[in-house]
Amino acid sequence: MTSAVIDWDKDLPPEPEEEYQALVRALRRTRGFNLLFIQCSPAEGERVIARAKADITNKNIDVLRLDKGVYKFYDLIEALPNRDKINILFVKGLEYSLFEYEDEKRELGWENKDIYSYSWRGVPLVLINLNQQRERFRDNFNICFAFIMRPFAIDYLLQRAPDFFDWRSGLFKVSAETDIISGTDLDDFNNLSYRERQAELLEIKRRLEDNCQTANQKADLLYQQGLLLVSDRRYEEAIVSFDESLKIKDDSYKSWHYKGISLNNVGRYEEALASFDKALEFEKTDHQVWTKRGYALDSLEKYKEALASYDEAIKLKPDSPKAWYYRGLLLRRLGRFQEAIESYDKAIEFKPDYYQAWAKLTHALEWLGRDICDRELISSAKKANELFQLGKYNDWYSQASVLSTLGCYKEAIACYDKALELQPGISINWNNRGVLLTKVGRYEEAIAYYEKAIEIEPRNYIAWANKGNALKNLGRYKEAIASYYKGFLSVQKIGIFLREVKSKQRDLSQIVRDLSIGILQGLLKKIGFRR
Amino acid sequence: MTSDLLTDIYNAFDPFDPLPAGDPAYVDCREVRGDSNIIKELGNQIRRSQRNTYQLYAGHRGTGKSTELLRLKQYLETQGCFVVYFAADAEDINPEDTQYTDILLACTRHLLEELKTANPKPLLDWLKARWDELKDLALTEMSFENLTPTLQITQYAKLTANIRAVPSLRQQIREKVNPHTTTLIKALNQFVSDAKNELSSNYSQLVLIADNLDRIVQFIQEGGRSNHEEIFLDRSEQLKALDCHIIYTVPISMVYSHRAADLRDIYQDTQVLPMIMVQTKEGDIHGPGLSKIKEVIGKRVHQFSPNSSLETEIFDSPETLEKLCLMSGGHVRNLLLLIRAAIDRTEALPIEAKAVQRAIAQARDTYRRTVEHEQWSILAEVSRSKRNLNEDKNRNLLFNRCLLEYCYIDSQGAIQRWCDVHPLIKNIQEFQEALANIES
Repeated sequence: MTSAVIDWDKDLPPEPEEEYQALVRALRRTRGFNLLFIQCSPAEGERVIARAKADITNKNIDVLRLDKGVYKFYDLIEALPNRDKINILFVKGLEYSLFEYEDEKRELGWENKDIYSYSWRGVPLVLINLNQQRERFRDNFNICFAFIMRPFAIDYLLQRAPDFFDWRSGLFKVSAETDIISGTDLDDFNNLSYRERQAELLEIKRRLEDNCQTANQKADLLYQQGLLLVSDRRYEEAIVSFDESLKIKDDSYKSWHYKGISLNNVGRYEEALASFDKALEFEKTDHQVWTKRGYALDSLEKYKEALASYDEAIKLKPDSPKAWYYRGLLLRRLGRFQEAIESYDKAIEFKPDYYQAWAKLTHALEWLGRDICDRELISSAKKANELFQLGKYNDWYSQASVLSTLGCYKEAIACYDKALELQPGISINWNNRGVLLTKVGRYEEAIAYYEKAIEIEPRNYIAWANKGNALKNLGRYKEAIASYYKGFLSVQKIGIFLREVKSKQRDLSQIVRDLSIGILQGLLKKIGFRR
Repeated sequence: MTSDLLTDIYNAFDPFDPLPAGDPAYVDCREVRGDSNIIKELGNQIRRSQRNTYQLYAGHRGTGKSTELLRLKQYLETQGCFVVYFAADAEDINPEDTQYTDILLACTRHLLEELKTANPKPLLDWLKARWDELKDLALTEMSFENLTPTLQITQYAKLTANIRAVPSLRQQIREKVNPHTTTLIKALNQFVSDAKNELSSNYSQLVLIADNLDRIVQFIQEGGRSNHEEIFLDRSEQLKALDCHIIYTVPISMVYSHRAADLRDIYQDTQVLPMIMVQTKEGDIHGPGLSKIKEVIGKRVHQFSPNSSLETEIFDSPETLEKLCLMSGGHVRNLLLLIRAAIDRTEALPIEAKAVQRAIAQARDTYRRTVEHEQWSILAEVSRSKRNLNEDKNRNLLFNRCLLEYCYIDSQGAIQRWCDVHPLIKNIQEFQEALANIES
C-alpha cells in the first residue's frame, strides 16, 4: 500500500497538534488503569486540560494540581474524595517534589553533579513511592493517570525511576521544545515564582547540554538563561551567560542591554557603560537602555552625561516613571533639590504607587528644610509608609528614612537593622543607622556605626562628615576635624562635602559656618595634617 | 466499528500485568531465546536434586521474567511441588534500601501466609522472645500473649511492613533483628520442616519463588561495593539457609559484574532470560525471531479480530509491521509500548507507516535521553564487539536496557550468548558519532 518509499532511518519529529490528538485517543481508548506522560510547559498543560475536558465528554476528568512537594503520592490519590468516579486524572506539579529533594541534598553538601547525574546515591522520595507502589496503583485505582511534566522532569523519571517510567503507555510532547521556556524578555520571567524560574533554568541547561541546538538557538537560550539569572539576582552568573550569548551573536542589543543592567547591579559601572553603548549601536530608540546607561554614568559620577542620558530616555518615553525617578536621584545628588522633587513628582504622576519615588520625595523635601509641620512632607511620608505597609517592598533602607521623617525612630532603627541583616555590605545603611542614633543623642554608639560604614567604603564622605559631626558634638574637635578632612579628601569637592555636613546637621548650621574652607585648613595645619 | 476494534487492540497491549500461566496470548519463544526454557533449566534442577537448590534468575525488566516464573510455578505444581510464589512489592522490600534481613523476613511472611496448616509456633516463639524489643517498633501497645495466632501473624506482617515504610524504624528493626538472624533461621526452618511434614502426603517438595528482587536499586556503598554484592554474595549463607528450594530473581547487572564468577560458585548457574533474537549477531534479520514477535502481536490482536491480516489490515504493509518488530529489539514491553504509541497515532486501521515511524522516533528519543554523555563510547564498543564486558560501567546500561542480551544455539549445539545495543539506539546521532570515533 505504501506508495512513497519510507526512510526508516530518519526521525520524524513530533508535531504538537498531532501529539495532542494522539493523547486524546489514548485517553479515550484507555479502559481502567493507565499511565501517560505529557511533556510540555505548565501553561500548555493547562490548555491541554481545558481542551481534553471539552473533547472527551463521556469520561470523568479530574485534575490534581500539586503546589508543593509530596512524598506519599499513593495516599494522596487514595484520599481523593471522588476517587471511584474518576476515569482520567491529570496530575500537575510533581516537579516540586524533585526540587525539595534537590534542596535537601544541597543542604547536605551534595555537588550538583551528584544531584543531577545518573547516580543511585539517592532518589526523590516521591519517586521511591511511585516505584514501590506501582502495583498498588494498578490494582487499586481504575484511573488513567496523565502526568503533565516539564521535559527536565521527564528526564528525571527516565533516569531515576526507570521502573515506574517503564510502565508508561505513552509520552506525548504537546509543546514544541522552543515553547517550553516562557519568555524572551525580563518581564516574562519577573512574574515567575522562584521555583518556576528554577525549573526554567533547568530546562535551559538541559537544552544547552543537548548538542542538537543551532548556534542561533544556543545564543537565544543563553540570553534567556541570563534573564532568568537576572530575575534571580544572580548577576555575576548572568553576565557570564550574556557574554557567552554575545560570543555567538554579538548584534543583539538586548543581550548588551541586560548585560549592562547586570553589571550595574554588581557595581561594575565602567563595563556597564560600555555594554550600554554597545546596545545603542544596534538600537537607539529603547528608552530603557538610555535610563540604565544614565544610571551607570551617574554611578561613575559623570553627572552631566548621566543627566543627558536620562533626558534622552524621557524624550523617547516622556511617561517613563523610572527615567524620571533616576533623574530625580541624580539631581538630588547634585544638590538640585527643587528639580529633584519635580522629577519625583513626574515619576509619581505616571506611577502613583511608586513607593521608592514617594520615599525619595520625602527625603528630598526634608533636605530642602521642610519640617514636620510641612503638609507636603508629611503627606508624602505617609503615602510612602502606606505603600510600604502593603508588604510588596523590601527596601528597608528607604523605609527607615521615611519612618525617621515621621519621627518613628525606633521603627526606623528596626528597618536599618533589617537592611543590615540582608545586606551587611552596604556602607550607607551603617551610616544611616548611625544618624538615627545621633537623633537621640547617642553619639558614641553612632560613631561605631560610621566607622563600620567607612570600613566598608573608605570613600564614603558622608560617613566621614557624620563622624566629624558626632565627634564635634562630643566636644572632640581635633578628631572631628580629622574626620572632616578625611571626608573632604575622599570626595575632593569641598562644595559637595560642605553641603553634606550642612544639610545633615541643619540645627548645627553655625558649626558648619565655622568650617568654611579657610578655617578648616587653618585647623588642619594646627594639628599637623598634610595632604 | 474500526475504532472500537482499535480500542480493544489498544487495551490488549497492556504492559502492566505479566501473563498468567495458560493465558491464550502467551507465545512460547524458547527457540528464539537461545532455547532458554525455564521449566527445563530451573524446574528440573528442583525436581531432580536430592538437596535443596538455591537458584538465581535474571533478565531485563519487562522481558517476560514474571510471565515465565508463573509458568514455572504451574509446572512445578503439576509435578507435585508446593510452590510459594511472591512478587516482592512494597509490602516486602524497599527497592531503594533493602538488606538481606528484609528478604528473609519477606520470605518468612509469605511462607507464614501460605502454609496455613503448619504450626507457626517456632516463629511466633521467636517473635515473642524479641517482642519486648520490637513491640514499640511494630507501633502497637498490645502484649503479644494476648494475641490470637492469626493476630500474631498480623503483628509479624506489621513488623515487616514497618521495615519498608518507616526509614527510621527500618534501621532500628534491623539492628534488633540482625543479631538474632541465626535463631530466626532456625525457627523458620522448624516451621518449614513442620510444613513439609504436613505437606508430605500430597507434595514432594516445597519451593519458594521470590520474584521482583531485581528491583532492588543498586547503589555503591562506601568502599566501592554495591548493595547487590552485599546481599547476594556476602549474605549468601543466610539466603541459602532456608530448608526449601528457593529461586531468587537477581538484577541482571549482577550477573555481568566482575563478581559474576563468585556468583556462579555460590549458586547454581544463573539463568538469564535473553531477548527474543530478531536480528543475528551479524545484523541480518532473524526470521524465526521475527515470526515470534509477529505471533506475540497476532495472538493479542486475534482475540478481537480473529481473521484480520496483520500485514494488510492491522498494519498498512508487511514492511511497517516488520520495522516495528525489529525496533523492539525482541523485548516484549518495548514492543507493547511501540504498538500502543503507534495506535495512539492512528485514527482508523490500518496502522500506517507514519504512525509507526513516530512511535519509533519517540522511543528513540527516550533512549537518547537515558544515555549519559560518557556512555556513548561504551555502547559503540559493545556494538562492535557484540560482547558485554563484565565491567561495572556497563551495569547501568543493562539496567536501562540500552544493552540487550541475546542467545542462540550454534551448529555444534552450544549456547552462544551475545550482546548488542538496543536497535533504537543505532540511529541516534551521538551513537553514530561515537561509533565513527572508535572506527577512525
